Amino acid sequence: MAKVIMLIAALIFSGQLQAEILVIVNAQNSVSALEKKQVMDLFMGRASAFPNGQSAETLDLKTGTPLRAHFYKILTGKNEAQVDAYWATLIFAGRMSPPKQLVDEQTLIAEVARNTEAIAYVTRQALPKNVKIVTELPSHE
Amino acid sequence: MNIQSLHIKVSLSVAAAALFVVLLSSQFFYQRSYEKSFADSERSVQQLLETVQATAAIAAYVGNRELAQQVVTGLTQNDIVVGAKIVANKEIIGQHGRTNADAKQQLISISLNAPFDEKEKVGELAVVPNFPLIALRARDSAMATAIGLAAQAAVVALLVLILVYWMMTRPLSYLSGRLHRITPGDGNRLDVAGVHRGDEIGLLAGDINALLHTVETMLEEERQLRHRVELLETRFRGIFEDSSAGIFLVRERGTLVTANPAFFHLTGLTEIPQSATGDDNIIARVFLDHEQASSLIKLSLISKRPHSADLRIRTEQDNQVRWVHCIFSPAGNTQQGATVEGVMYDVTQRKYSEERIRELAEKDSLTGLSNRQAAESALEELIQQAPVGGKEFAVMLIDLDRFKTINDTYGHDAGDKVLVTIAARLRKLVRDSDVVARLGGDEFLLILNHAGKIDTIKRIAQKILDAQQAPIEIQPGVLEKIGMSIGIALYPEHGDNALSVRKHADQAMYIVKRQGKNNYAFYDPSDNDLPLTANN
Repeated sequence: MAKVIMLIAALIFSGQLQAEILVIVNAQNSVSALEKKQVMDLFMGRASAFPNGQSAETLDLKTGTPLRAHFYKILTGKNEAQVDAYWATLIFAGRMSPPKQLVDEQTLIAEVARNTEAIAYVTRQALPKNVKIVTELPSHE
Repeated sequence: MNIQSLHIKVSLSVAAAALFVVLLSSQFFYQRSYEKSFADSERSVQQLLETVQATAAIAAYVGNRELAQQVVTGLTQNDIVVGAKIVANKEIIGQHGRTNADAKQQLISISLNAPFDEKEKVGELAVVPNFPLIALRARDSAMATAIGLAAQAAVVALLVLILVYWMMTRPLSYLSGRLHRITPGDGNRLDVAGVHRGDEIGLLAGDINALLHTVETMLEEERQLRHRVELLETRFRGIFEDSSAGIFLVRERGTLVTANPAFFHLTGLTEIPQSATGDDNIIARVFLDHEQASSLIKLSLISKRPHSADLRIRTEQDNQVRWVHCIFSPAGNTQQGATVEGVMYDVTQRKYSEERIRELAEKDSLTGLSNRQAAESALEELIQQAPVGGKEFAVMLIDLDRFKTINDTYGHDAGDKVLVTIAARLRKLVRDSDVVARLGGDEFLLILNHAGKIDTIKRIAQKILDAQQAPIEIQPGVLEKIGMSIGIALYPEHGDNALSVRKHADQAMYIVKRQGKNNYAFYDPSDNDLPLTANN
């Protein structure tokens, strides 16, 4: 129940704030643009490398972050709990690990700026120059 | 035996019908149950696949072999699945148990779609179902169904059998057995249990009882009737056996059917057994006048009325002729033809007394010739039998000459002797069929039946006169010649009736007397001058 209320509140809050989600990579990354599906394959563990063969490391926000729920909803059409269950299945099977979770967007941006293999998502905002946008996800599906 | 067989028949019929139903329904239900069970198992496999579809889809999506392996291993834990595999990107990422190649079976598979995109097919999950097991289970299930059904049918059949036996066969057998022991007429009746009072068995028993009652009544009536008939028969037999009249039954052709003792006594025949009567014509053997008897039999059959006659019968002990009065009446038809009943009784005595009476009435006691009455009736009869223009005959009236003198001289004995002698002579001189009569006193009458010609008559008359030339010994040592006057009249020439013929013969005789006696004369119509009564 609390979760539902929180989710509704998050959605109302994010109206203007999270108008668009930006998928970002290190500026040195040779990948210039990614399809939504390619983003999904990376984040859902299907692909462990960029289409050009360069290995990728997905970065995620902490569970319960409104942006995270929004991101996955737009990306997979599933809610956060479903996505977590999906990962739980894979983790249980072994050898698979979900994207590494970081505390907030700034930490994410900092990590992407530092790690050339990293890929993460943030709300539309001003970004440092060693970070580039590969996909813009519309706020509505 | 039949009492048993009814029950056996019913039992066999019910058993056969039950067996048939059981076989048929078992076959049908086995098939259905088998198919249903098989389909159920297949659906179970399908459901099993659907259960793991999501996980398998994830495994296929991310190409996770561990997850895939977990899924297929899990699937094969089910005993209806012997092998499973997950194919993603045309590569087997998880496989466990037997493959379809070594199980040589159809696979059951579902396609796996991307968890986040239903449109994208990421792989396929396929299983090898444990068909032998499924089939075995289906068979077991079907067999159980069929056996249950058969048992049910058997129980129902048994129940039906028991009920039929209890409610129908047993009461029927009981009725049948009771009826078997009942002899119509012993007064016994069938009793029926209260349960069956209203139903068909009760009705049957009631009807049988009614029938028994009717039969008994009829038997009783029959018995009484028979008794009466026996009584009657005894009486009639008594009449038949003890009758002094001979009673006999003959067929049209004269063969004997039966006869009473009196018949055999009368006829002198030995009693012959019925079978031996054969074709023997008893009529011909019994009756002297058997042609007459046979014609009487035919007559009675044709006219359908009794006919009787006095007949002579043969008697074998003595040669004396016996007379019987015999009545023949038609006695109805039998298979062998019409029969005639005959009744005969002995009339010999009567016949002989009648004959004697007639003799007494017709004979002259002295001479043994016919007397006046006999002569007159013979003349009448002759004229009636011979109409005018038919037969001719002559009448001679004879009167002895000098008879009165002899009578007066020598006495009546001498006169009688003369009369007897003359009578014998006359009788000897004419034919047997001619009538010779003594009218009374010394007057005789002759009727010459077959003499129509004058010459013949004359010759006879002369012969008669000539015969009188012989003297008669009227007393020892006394011989006398007796002459006679003969008057002759001819029929129909001298008269067409008895009276006139006699009268004219009388006239002719009177003329002879007048003209000198011992002669004969024919009637001459010209001699009519004499009074008719002169001679009387």
